[in-house]
Amino acid sequence: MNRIDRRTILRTLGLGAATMALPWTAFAKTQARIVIIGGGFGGASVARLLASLLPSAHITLVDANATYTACPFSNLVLGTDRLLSDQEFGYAGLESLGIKVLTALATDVDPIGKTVTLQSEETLSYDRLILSPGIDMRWNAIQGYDEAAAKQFPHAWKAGPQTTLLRNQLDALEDGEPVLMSVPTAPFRCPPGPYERASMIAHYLKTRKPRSKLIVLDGKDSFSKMALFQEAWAEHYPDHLEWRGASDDGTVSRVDTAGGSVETDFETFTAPVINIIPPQKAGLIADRAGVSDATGWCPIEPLAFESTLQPGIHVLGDATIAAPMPKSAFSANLQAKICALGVARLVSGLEPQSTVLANTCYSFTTPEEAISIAGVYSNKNNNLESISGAGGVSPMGADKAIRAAEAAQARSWFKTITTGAFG
Amino acid sequence: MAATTSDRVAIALACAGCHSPQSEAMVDLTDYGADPMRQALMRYRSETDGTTVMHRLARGYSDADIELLAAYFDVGAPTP
Repeated sequence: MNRIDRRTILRTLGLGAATMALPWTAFAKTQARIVIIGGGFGGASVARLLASLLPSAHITLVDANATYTACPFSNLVLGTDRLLSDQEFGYAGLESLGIKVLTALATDVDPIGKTVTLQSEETLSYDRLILSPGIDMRWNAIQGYDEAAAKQFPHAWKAGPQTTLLRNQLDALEDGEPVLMSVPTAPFRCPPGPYERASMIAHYLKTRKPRSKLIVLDGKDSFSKMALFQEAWAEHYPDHLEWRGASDDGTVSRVDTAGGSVETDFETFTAPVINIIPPQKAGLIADRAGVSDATGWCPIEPLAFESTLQPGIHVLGDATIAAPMPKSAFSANLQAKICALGVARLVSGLEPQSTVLANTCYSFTTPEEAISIAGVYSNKNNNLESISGAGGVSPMGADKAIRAAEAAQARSWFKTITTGAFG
Repeated sequence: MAATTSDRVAIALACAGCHSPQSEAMVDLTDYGADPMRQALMRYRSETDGTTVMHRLARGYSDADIELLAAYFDVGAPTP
């Protein structure tokens, strides 16, 4: 008989070993077939915890890539000596837990017949399907910005070859030439991410191309941790970073790859390096499964993250409509673990339960300094909401020791979250 | 209704987002124990001018939530 004890749970979650065994046998016997599409922070984490909670279940993880390239910390690859290989994680750790990992593109879902179709035309039957598909770009939402344009004006909003492309463009920049970045309106993956990236590119320019400058064209007038970022920019990058909000003609409406330029309402900007972070939506398989709505994102109930559009299909992470939880790796990882517990209860004939959820996101303002935002959430009464009086951002005007401490915490967080997801 | 194992595990899941044997800059909660957990969270919550991530997070947890977390981290007496 399988015993799920506290030691196992702690080890699974990255909380380490403990001394007291806590018998937990209610979930041990189900042989449910659970298919997970998407092997990022949501998908890998849900697979890992389900393997512990449901040791007799058949768990299959499907991802198009054999290696996952993490987005958090990828801005440091752009602006510092951090390597893209530091962002890469494989699935051997999941396979060692008995999870079947398929490197395959899932092309379709039949929510009635409960099957997933792969590009090879192989089909997988499931009792519960969990989608953690991340984001896809809304090509042509900015006129002229399509997949081909992204090869010239990288988005680098999925880490990998796009990250390398943007870094190579920065390396090829002549000192004195400008860099442009376009930021969309919410919602998008990683709300403070564009501003961490702006900080890292400005750091790169300050240290390697000191006569160059980054111009950030933003489709909105306020953003995550805004006052803290602007404080850091004034201190560190007064000559290397200029931010223009929507009311200052910051909204990019068209790109021209032939001309190497972008257009706002009143101006055309030309630069040898142009980073377009475009508007986004849930990853494509969400559309195929019928779990995304007219917004392009996926509505869920907040106890087990089951789709409100397709019963039996759960959705995690950036693809979901889970505000006030942000589209962050921390959120995806926690949603995955809450979902695993909820699915374990559902397949065992129990109802999912409410709890307290949280999120913490760190952003680097220099390679040695970081700032943070935290939130605490309740999912009681089928309603995901912030718990008032909790959460918030790092203090303004803090001394360097506090910023350095949060940078150290950020690095620790990355180790914990990647170990927790990938082993 | 009495708290279940699911209740205790669920509320501790968020902690594991940062705290692990790998987290050099955050305390490893392995074998942390119920009393230290209760005391630490109560202290973070009561320090109204505290600005660390833990201060900001602890303000979202009720007394009952903190008791659930303490119960989760109750390592008890060592087993033979």
